[in-house]
Amino acid sequence: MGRMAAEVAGPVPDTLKIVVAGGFGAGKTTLVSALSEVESLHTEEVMTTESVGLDDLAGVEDKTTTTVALDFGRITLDESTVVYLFGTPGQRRFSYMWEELTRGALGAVVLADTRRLTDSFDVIDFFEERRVPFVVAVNCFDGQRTHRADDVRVALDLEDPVPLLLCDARSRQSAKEVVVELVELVLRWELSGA
Amino acid sequence: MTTQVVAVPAVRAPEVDPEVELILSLCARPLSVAEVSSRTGFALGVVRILLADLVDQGRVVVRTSDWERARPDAATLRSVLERIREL
Ligand SMILES: Nc1nc2c(ncn2[C@@H]2O[C@H](COP(=O)(O)OP(=O)(O)OP(=O)(O)O)[C@@H](O)[C@H]2O)c(=O)[nH]1
Ligand SMILES: [Mg+2]
Repeated sequence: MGRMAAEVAGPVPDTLKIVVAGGFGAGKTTLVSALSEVESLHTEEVMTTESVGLDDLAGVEDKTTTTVALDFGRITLDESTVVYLFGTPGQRRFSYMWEELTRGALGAVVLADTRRLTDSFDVIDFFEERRVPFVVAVNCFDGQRTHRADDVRVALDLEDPVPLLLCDARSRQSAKEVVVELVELVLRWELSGA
Repeated sequence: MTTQVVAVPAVRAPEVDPEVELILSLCARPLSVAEVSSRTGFALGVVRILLADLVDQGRVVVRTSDWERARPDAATLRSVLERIREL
């Protein structure tokens, strides 16, 4: 058994947690996968009926719990520093998950799909209320490249200091830029004593 | 969920559930609770219960990063930025 290895295992790494939130099909799984060094990224959270809307239970009235997949990714920066990425749905009924995920998190990325911008409203409100540093990344699906960042900013009613950038969640380079933007924002908060 | 779990090597119980055995072997090196869940395929809630028992028995130790209690300082953030850019 590999258990003896613990005797020689190095120090327990420090961890940074980043939350990736977005509506259905916004590209959360794609973005987390583009950055993660581990495959098989899914973990599951049990959702009780309290957090499920009535519509979702139609026909399955005797069902009391259901599971929600969470995307999960890991980036090892060095032997003492690991970044974890958690992808979570952006609709209000998942807010019980945002509570847990944002606790102790460095910050968040809101992935917005220009075809369904309203999907992002709830989670943006949540991050603003909790003073969680976040950036908005507009996923550029084909044919959506004409969208101007300024228009999206207005449509989402974003405050000026909230960074907004266009991204392609499939590209590791692009996904990296999103995370860099977030860490730069956190650094600005730290330097300004926010 | 990002709490790191490490098995305590010396404590070897005579009888071990396969689930417990699997968890102990996975966290021979530090691993997050979320990763234990994703690698075992056990739901987070199940993993938490099994780990809580193992902690009570002194067979695993857990550690939460200081960075979850307080935001890392500017120097740390700068070095994190540098490393992410290098990826
Ligand atoms: N063209 C383009 N397609 C993308 C991009 N990001 C994701 N996709 C595609 O869009 C689809 C949905 O992406 P996912 O990453 O599964 O989205 P998700 O947010 O995880 O979706 P759910 O988990 O179902 O809510 C997939 O088929 C992706 O390949 C992008 O930046 N550009
Ligand atoms: Mg997904």
